[in-house]
This record gives sequence, structure tokens and C-alpha cells, in this order.
Amino acid sequence: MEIVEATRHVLEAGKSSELTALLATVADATAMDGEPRFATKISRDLARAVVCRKYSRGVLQLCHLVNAVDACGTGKDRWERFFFGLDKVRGTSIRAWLNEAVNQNDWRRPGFEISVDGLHMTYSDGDFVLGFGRMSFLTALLETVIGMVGYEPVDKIFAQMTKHATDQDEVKDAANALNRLIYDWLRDHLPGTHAAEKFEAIVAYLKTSSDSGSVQVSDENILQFWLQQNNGHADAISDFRTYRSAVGSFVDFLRAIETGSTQSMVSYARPLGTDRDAGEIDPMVLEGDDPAGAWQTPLALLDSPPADAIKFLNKREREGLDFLMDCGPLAIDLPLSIMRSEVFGSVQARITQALRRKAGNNVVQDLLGCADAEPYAERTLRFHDYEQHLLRVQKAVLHVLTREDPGPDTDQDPDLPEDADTTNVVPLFAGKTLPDGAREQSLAAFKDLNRRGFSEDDLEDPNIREGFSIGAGALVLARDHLADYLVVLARLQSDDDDLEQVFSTDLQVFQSLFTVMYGEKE
Amino acid sequence: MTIQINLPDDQSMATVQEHFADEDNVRQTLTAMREAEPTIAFSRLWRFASGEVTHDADLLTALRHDSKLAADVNALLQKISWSHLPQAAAASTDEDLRLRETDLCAIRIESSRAEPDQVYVIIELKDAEANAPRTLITSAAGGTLERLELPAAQGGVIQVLLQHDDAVLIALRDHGTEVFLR
Repeated sequence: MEIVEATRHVLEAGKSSELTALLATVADATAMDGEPRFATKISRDLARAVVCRKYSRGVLQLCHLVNAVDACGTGKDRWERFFFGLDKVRGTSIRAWLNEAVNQNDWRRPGFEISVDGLHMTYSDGDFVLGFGRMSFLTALLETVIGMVGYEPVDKIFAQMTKHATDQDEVKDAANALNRLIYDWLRDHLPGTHAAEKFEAIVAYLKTSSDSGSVQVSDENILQFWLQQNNGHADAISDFRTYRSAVGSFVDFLRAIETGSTQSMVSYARPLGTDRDAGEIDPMVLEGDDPAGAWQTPLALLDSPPADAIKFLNKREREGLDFLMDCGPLAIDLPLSIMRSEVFGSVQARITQALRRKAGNNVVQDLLGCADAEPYAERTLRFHDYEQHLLRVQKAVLHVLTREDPGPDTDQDPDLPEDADTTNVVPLFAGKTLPDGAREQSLAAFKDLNRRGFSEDDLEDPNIREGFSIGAGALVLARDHLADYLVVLARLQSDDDDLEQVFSTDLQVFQSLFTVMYGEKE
Repeated sequence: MTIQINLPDDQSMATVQEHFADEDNVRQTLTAMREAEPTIAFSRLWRFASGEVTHDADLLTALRHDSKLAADVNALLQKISWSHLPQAAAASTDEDLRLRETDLCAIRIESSRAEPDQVYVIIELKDAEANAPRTLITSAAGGTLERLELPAAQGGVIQVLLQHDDAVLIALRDHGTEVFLR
């Protein structure tokens, strides 16, 4: 008896490509104190920019930034000192570095100025403005580009550019040269994807149950789709091996349907410029933000500076909420798909990990039997616990936002990233009175939270206070979304087939398929 | 619960498919990143090359196995160093190297007369008034990096006494080694 051939596919899937290893390296880079060098959101944004080939605007901004730091730095390694000498890369530390450099050295070349929001660069053919908040992303982008193509070619391009960069054409030439290097590297290193096959598989499946152009997506047909993709072929190579990936693909499909038809074609890396006939792309109209109203997980805001300096959620809470928050309002329409992903998706992840580390047969068999699958009722209770935690954190945040002594720097300019989503920002309203009971509750909640950021000493830091102000909006959004989801779960619990019954049925379904996919063969 | 959708026409479907591909690529990449084994970030390389960090065992190990990383560190050291002494000429590789020279300095290796197990490394600056280097870094062809903190110069001369089996000395004698003075 031996573990089925499917193990090979699991191992194959677990292999890191050079690109994902590189992105993981940048995401994993640490400051001197061992904390992440970049905010989590930066690493996610970087991955999106690279794998979707939407990096050309960033590359152009990067070249302008290199030009500016070259003009205020000292030594042979002027731009390197800025990009790699910065320890924790945040908008505030970048601003401090630039201010100090200019105070000490002044500008070696004219045309540069530091404003409240960022860098203002004046060229012979126009101005270019770059905000401090964007520079963290550009630093991560540079680290990635050097990891791709090597230091020497990048240094040559920058050396050439900074010799002559008195007009923007010089900077665009450098950006184009870098874009070409990145494009060539990605051509060989972007992992092969089966996105087209996946898309067609989903569309074909949905069309089988419909005679018209109108199709339906439900919890049940997502489960049936996944079963159909994997059932009966122990060593079948499916693009939807994991249940969670199948749900994720349906979420992506629904979002693409929602936004795709209203947006223009995706832009690919092409020469920057305004000559459309020559195939150039105007960098300022590239890579627009997500469409207005598109869902963005509120956890992303908590992952961004300055809110990321506060431990609103620990690792377990973060992981427990991640998928639900990522799916957004679609989770309300597909509640069981979320629940199945949380419970049986976790079991499947443990199975693949066990196979990868070549765990004993008995361990794998226990996992295939889903013995440790968390019943839906228990998982629901855990969601309730998270909701209560979010409530406690909200109360603690209320204490911070209403405390009488906000510290000496209340009037200081907030260090809000220039590209931060400010729709969720709750303005500081120090001194506003709360009813006594509410004030006591919020103070108690604050004192009970023994986590980074939740001490009176921490509140002396204006960045921490700003982090609370921004985090407050994200916490409200997260708790509202979780509460909506719990309402749907409560409704399911009151159905004839309550959650226990659904779990019992699902248990057999997943046990059966996991055994086919990963079990022993005669 | 059911979500009812109308599939778009073929033209719009192409755009939808591109959006799907983007989202799918990002999702796959972020998932793969959780399993990926991080390597050495360039910022870590810079910290070491610039002297901000002087000990990084993992980095030194990685340099021996990753030729691209080794090329990066050599290029970086070449840029930021006070003087770069490249690999010696291939014609003389049959014997240990005793002299390396650039237009800024010369590095001589001389045996100690008093202690047979010890060897002098003497760095003579061609401009005795120049700011003297403080660190010597050797980079062997196989990626092995060695670092030696230098004493202050006396009259344009820096002198270090090393054991004959010191790793820095072995590297200095090797024709395939590049030397950087910082």
C-alpha cells in the first residue's frame, strides 16, 4: 500500500517558483528589530503589480524618486543609502530621511523641493509630484526588481539617468529601460497559470444548468463543481484541487463579471509616452484604482501604516477572519461556501502539509477521515467570539479617540499616506464627552487589551493615535460584515436542515473525496 | 441562497476573462507565497556590504550557493569601496599571490621572520594623506566572503599580522579572489 500518486501533484503544487520566492523574500524582509520592513499591504500590492504586469507607473515614479534622492544624498551609493538604509519603510520614516538629508546636504542639483505631502520635482518640460506614502511601495518595487534582474544593470540605468535628468524624457527613458528588463525577466518567470482554462471551466459548468444567458451560482453548485472537478480521478490534475481555491475562483469570477464589463482592457507593460501610434502608454492614465464601490477587505487598512503599528487582531483572529473579509458581501450570498472553506479547507491544507512533510500513514488517514474538522456550530461560536473581540477593540478605540489628554502633538500634521483610503478615517475628537458608563467601559476595554499599541505610553506616539483613528473605520466595517454573516448563519441554523445536519452531510462528502484524492490505492 | 447573473456578450466576456485572470494570478501568487522559502533580500546584502551589519552567517552561506547574489554583492562592493583590486592575471596562477596593486594602493604579503606561523599583510597607500580604508573584504570566485577590520594607518601604511591559515590570508593569496577596501 502506498500513498497515491496524487501526492506528487501536491508536492508539485507546493514548489515555489523563483518569482513567488522573490516576492516572499521582499515580504519577509525584516528591519533591525526583526519586525517586517514593509507593511503587509505593501507586499500584497507589490504581488498584484508584478503578476498582473501593472508596474510601469510605479517604475516611472521610482525613477523620479531615484533622481531626487540622488540629488540630496552623499557618497557613491546615494540612492542605495535611501532605499536600503531605511530600516522600517514607512511614509513617516521616508519623510524624516529626506528632510534630514536636505538639511545636512542641501540639494546638489536644482529643481527639487520637499512639501508637506511629498516631493515636488521641477523639470525643464514640466513638474512631477510624488507623495511620501507611495514611496514605501516604490522601495519594495526596487528591492524586487534588483532581485529579478540583478543590481548592476539597475545601477547602470540609474547612473545614466542621474547624469542628465534635467527633463522628464530622460527619466522616462530610464523607466522604459527598466520596464524592458522586468518584462523580459517575467516572460521567463511568471508562473504558468491556467486562468483561461479555469474561467472556461466555470462558464461551461454554469451553462450546463441553464438554457439562456442567465446562470446561477449557489453554495450547492460550487460544491458540486468542485466534486465534479476532482471526483473519480485519484491522480487527476485539476485546476481546482483545493476546495478553497474553487470558492476563491467563483468569487473572482463573480467580481470579474461585476467589474469587467465596465472597465477597459487591462494595460500591459509598454513604452511610456504619449505617442499612442507608436504603442506608447501615457503613464498617468495607467493602472487605475479598483472601480468605485468595489469591495476591499477592511483588514487591508489594518495592515497599512499607521494602523499596522497597533495589534488590533492577533494571528489566530486575523487568519480566522481573513477569507470571510476577503469575500466581502459575496459571503452573505454564499455562506456555506465560506463555512466549508474555513472548516474543510483547513482540513485539506493539513492533509497537503502532512503529505509534503511525508507524515506517517496513520496521521494522513486520520486527516482524511476529517476527525479534527471543526463542527459548523463550533466554528459559528468562534465567529461570535471574533465579533465580541471586535466590539471590545472598538470600545478601546473609543477610549483613545475621546481621551481628555491626547498628548502634546494633537495639532501635528497627520502622517497619513497620500494614497490611503480616507473614507474610513474617523477624525480625532478628543475632549468630546461620553456618558459615564460608556467612558468606563471603553477605558476598561482599553486596559484589558494587553497588546501592542494599547498602553497609555503608546498613545504618546502621534502615529499610534493616527493608527487608532484610521483603524476605527476598518473595525466598524469588519464587525458590521461579520455581524451580517452571523445573521445569515443564524437563519441557516433555524432551517429544517440546521448547521449540525449540514455539517454531518458535508463531513461524509469531504471524507469521501479527500480519500479519493489523497488516500491509499490498492 | 442563489446569485443570479446574466453572462455578458462575447466582447465583454473577453474583458471579464482578463479581470478574472488578474484576480486568479494574484490569488495563486499570494497562496504560493505562504509556502515559498524566502531568500536573501538585497537590503540585507546592502547592510552587510555597507558595514551596517558585520556578521550575517546565513548571508555568507547563501553567497556560496547563489552566484547571482554573489555577483550583486561584488558589484555593490565595487561601487562603494575605496579601492577595488580585481582578480589577478591568469598567467601567474601557479603560485601564491604576494602583491596586489591599484592606482590607490598596494597590498603586500610577507612572512614574519620572528614567527614562522604568522604573515604580515601590508597595505601601502599611494597618497599617505588619503582617508585610509577601515575594512578589507575578500570575495572568492566560489562566493566565499571574508571580512577584516583594519587598524589605523601609520604614515600611509596599514599593517596586520595574521596566522598563516587565516581565511582572509588564504583568500588574499588566491588569484581568483577580488579584494575590496572600504
